[in-house]
Amino acid sequence: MSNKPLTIWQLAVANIKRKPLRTAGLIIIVALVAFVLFAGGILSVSLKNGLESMKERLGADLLVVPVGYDEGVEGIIVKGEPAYFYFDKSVETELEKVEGVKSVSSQFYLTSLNQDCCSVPVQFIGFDPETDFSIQPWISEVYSKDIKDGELIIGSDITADENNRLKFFGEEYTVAAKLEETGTGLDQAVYANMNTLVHLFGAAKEKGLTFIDTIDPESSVSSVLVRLEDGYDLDEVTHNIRASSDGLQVIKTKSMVTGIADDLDGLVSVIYVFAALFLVVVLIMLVIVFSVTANERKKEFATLRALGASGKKLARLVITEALLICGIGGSAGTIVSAVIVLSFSTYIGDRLGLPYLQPGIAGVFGIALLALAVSLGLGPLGSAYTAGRLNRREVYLTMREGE
Amino acid sequence: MRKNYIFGALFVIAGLLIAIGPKTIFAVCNSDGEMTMKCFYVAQTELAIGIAIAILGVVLAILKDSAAQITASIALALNGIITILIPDVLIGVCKSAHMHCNAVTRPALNILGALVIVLAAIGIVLFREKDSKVNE
Repeated sequence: MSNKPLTIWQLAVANIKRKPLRTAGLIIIVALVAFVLFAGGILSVSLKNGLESMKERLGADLLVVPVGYDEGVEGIIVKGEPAYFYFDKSVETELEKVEGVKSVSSQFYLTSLNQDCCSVPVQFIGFDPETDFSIQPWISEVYSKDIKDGELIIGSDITADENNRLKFFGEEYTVAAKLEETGTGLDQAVYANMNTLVHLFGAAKEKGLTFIDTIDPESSVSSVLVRLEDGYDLDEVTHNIRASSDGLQVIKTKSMVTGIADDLDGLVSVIYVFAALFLVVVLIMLVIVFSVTANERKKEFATLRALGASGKKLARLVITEALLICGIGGSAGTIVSAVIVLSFSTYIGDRLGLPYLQPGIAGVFGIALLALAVSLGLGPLGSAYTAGRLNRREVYLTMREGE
Repeated sequence: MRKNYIFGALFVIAGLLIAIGPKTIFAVCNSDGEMTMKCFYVAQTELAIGIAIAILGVVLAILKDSAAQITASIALALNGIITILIPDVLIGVCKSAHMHCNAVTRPALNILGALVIVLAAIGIVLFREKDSKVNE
């Protein structure tokens, strides 16, 4: 039988097993750090992605809606809250003539009923393919053909049946394509050309949607998207539009994005400050725990030194124990955090009420690695002071200390 | 404390959460109106599965024989699989990703089901180790 040498690793494993309660306590603390870091990382990156995606998706400089419906349109874009409001289509022609306006395109909104079981009301957005500059660039990424009458383009959160069809107001429609996820409320919308929307409108009327009784879909629109001529100021054109016609609410898309960005910055700052504070508190706690534990283990360390272990080896032993604890805690915390945060991402996004676009696999993996690396780094950092002391101390002094 | 007591207690907690959760903490959509939604049946079925898991947890805590403990753990793992299959495959939840049953109940049941499977797998390994130690 051959005697295997006792390695630092084996000794460290034996030591952390010997004090299961202390080890479990430390593992849970480090796991909490990893949990907070991963969850915080995913939240902040998802919110930033959502905002970027919304900026790209809007495509217009100004949004013109009936007075009092600025929140309605924001609800559609940001939170996916269905809304409908109408004004006369002549507004589109009037806006075309306003100084500083380069191009305009109108949209028509309609909302579905909770018609079939297990669905929420859906936002329909009708657009004019001839003039549209906001939706078609995104549709062209997934669908290169022209959208025919009766065809729908759906947001990423809408699910068609197995035959690629969707039923609204008792009639079936073909789903031509599904858009990429944007993390905004637009993921919950259904897009179609104006002819299909007029047809949907008629079907809705037949099904008894009384709120639209007075509306003529041929001569009404819900919003007009405006693009500015180069060299014109946003405020100046907004003023020109307001002067040209009454009853119009002009929304600067830039201001809408800035408003959300402000909310987002506040939230992300809170996340970062909380994570940083938590990290510092845990680090201080680890330094204290490792230092107190080393004091309790003076005899053990002195015996190891008497058996021939150098001060350096003892320091390595303490650091290995800390690394083991932080490695297990960090991995457990990251895994639990990933399972919870990724599983409930839709709910988290809905509750925040802000554009929320989760990063892809590479992004998630990167954040997980970062959380793991930081929690692992807590080990050497937390035990460095104790390891340094052990490295310097003499055997005799260690043995006699406290006697 | 004996391992089977700890495992038994964990299964009872998980079982009760699976049974009551879809009606309370991570409730399915409200089916009070005229329509009864699909997810309503998920909650009803999970109630039965959850109770079965909780009872098996109690049985596991009482059992002393390793072979019987392993058998109970296998039964628990199968119940864990069914817990996941009910909202994902067998019955399913509401279509819309933003409906409460789809955004909250389904992931919660998936996590709890996976937890039951993992715990049962760890239990099988530990009870087998105990069994082989007794036989040596």
